Amino acid sequence: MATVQPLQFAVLANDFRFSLPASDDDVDSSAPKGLSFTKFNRATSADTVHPPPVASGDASHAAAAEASTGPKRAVSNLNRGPRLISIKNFRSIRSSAAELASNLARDYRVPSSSLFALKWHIRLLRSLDTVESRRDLVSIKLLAIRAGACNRFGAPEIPSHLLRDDPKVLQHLADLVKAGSVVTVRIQTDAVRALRSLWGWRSVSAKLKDLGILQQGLVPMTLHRCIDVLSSPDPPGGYVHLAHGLLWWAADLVGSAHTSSSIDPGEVMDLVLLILRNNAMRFSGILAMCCHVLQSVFSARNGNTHTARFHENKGLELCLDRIKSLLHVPATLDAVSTAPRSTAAAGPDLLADADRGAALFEAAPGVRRSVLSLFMALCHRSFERQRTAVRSNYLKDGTFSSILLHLWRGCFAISRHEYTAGRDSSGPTSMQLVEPLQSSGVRITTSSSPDNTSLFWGPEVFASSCELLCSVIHNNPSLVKHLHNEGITDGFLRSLAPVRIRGLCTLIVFP
Amino acid sequence: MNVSLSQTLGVLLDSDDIELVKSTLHALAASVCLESGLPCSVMHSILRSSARATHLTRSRRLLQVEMMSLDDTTAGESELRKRLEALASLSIGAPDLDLKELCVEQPAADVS
Repeated sequence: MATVQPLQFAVLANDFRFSLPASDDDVDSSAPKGLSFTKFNRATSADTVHPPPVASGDASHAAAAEASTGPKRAVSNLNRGPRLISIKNFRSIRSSAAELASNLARDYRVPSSSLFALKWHIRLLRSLDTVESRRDLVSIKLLAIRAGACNRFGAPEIPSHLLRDDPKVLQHLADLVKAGSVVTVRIQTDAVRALRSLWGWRSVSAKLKDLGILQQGLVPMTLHRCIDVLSSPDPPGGYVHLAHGLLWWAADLVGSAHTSSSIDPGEVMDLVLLILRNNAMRFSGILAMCCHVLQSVFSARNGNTHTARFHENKGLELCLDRIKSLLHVPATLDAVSTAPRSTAAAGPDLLADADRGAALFEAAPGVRRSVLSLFMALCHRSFERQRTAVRSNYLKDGTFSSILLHLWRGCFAISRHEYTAGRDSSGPTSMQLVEPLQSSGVRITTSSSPDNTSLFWGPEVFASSCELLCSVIHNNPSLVKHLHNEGITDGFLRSLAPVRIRGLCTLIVFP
Repeated sequence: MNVSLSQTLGVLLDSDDIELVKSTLHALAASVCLESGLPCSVMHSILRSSARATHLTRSRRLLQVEMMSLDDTTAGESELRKRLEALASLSIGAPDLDLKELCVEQPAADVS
């Protein structure tokens, strides 16, 4: 088993080594500019230690120059292999990383293409003393992997170079995800997102499969742990983001043919339904991702089996409950959405909070509308793939028709301008159009804030709801009479009244 | 991605301010621009909000100085990609030391 000495960081940080390409001409633009001691070891064995060629008056430079040791290499040997900058007592040098890198670049004739890597190697070695700074560096690495791997504009070499230079990187990322409370949730989240981004590349996904990381249940197990934490009365921050990252990756994994044997879509669906059952889980990002995962499950092989299981496990009821809760707009959203401008000058602490970012996302225009559409599209999909009639109390007790009628009242509510004009003239207001509906014992309430435009769902939501209604009727035609008696037909025709749709510019909507 | 944006991002990644670097990478990685191909204006707004989140007033001054010193050879998307790759490859290099052990309070003692 691997042995790690506690003081290894300090030992490593005391001596500085950095390998350079042999000359500017030898710089391979496709080669990674990363840093590793394995390269240094190769360089050392090749006897390529390079001393500082010129002394200068700068203190840091002088220290670097004095500290350097090793045989002087002949100029004619420049093209034989990588050059190596070696500095003893590196920690005694006090100048900034940028200054030191600049001095070294000048004295060792470091090519400009290596300057960035040199600077970061200095920062890296100076940050090993405290766990916070080490975590920062790990975060930077993980974020860079993610940013580099998801850059579809033309960086396909990043994932392959990463695997080539560090064959254990995938295992290390998986270890971070599995580490539990040993590492911070933020790091775990970054590791999950990095893995997901890398997984999009075929070479990486094949490697992940070979390593057996997915077969060991990395995603479901971590998601389960995450749900447990989030279900607690006062969950610690950050787990929402971890769950979001895991769900995103799960959706990719389930929807992919070449990893279908590595992950069980049914198991993933059960976990998602567990999330939907938890009423405390209200973050729109998570809900949207749940819909995304379930859509992937339905699209996977044996999708019909999964839709049957979805309905057996009351999936439709859970989705309709979520739609109902989305119709209720918390009054606090307005306050959150206006917060960034007012607190921007107050300092970094408030705005740097990731959970605050989540709250801002929640309050962003259109987010709830999108999630609403996603849930209806999901329900529609579940009916579409279902070959037998779905039996649900919600279809018979009026819940389903109440939700649709309520939505339709809000879909084509008059515009804000008309609302203002209507209020001035004591005419009908938007609130009257979307007033709480009570039907068949089901009551849905909405915010009383008249300025909250989230209540106007728009034609896209209307189209999604109509599509859902069609699929419900197609699945069980005997429901038509029941729905008609509950006012669906009248409600539909009323929602298309000229007064409601006259402000629309939309000609047609495909949900 | 246009050159000035890539250039700006590249400079931000080169900053001594670790929080700024993290924030920039966050903006890069999380941006819908990269993952779904939305226009650069979206990226700009994400970057701006991210910059606000990391109190960029000080860093903006630094940025202005560094931008002035940039020459053509260090600008653009290819440079940004190289920088991302360098950061993605950051490694302490010790063969027995993995990322997890960098993150724990005290590196693991001899567990053999």
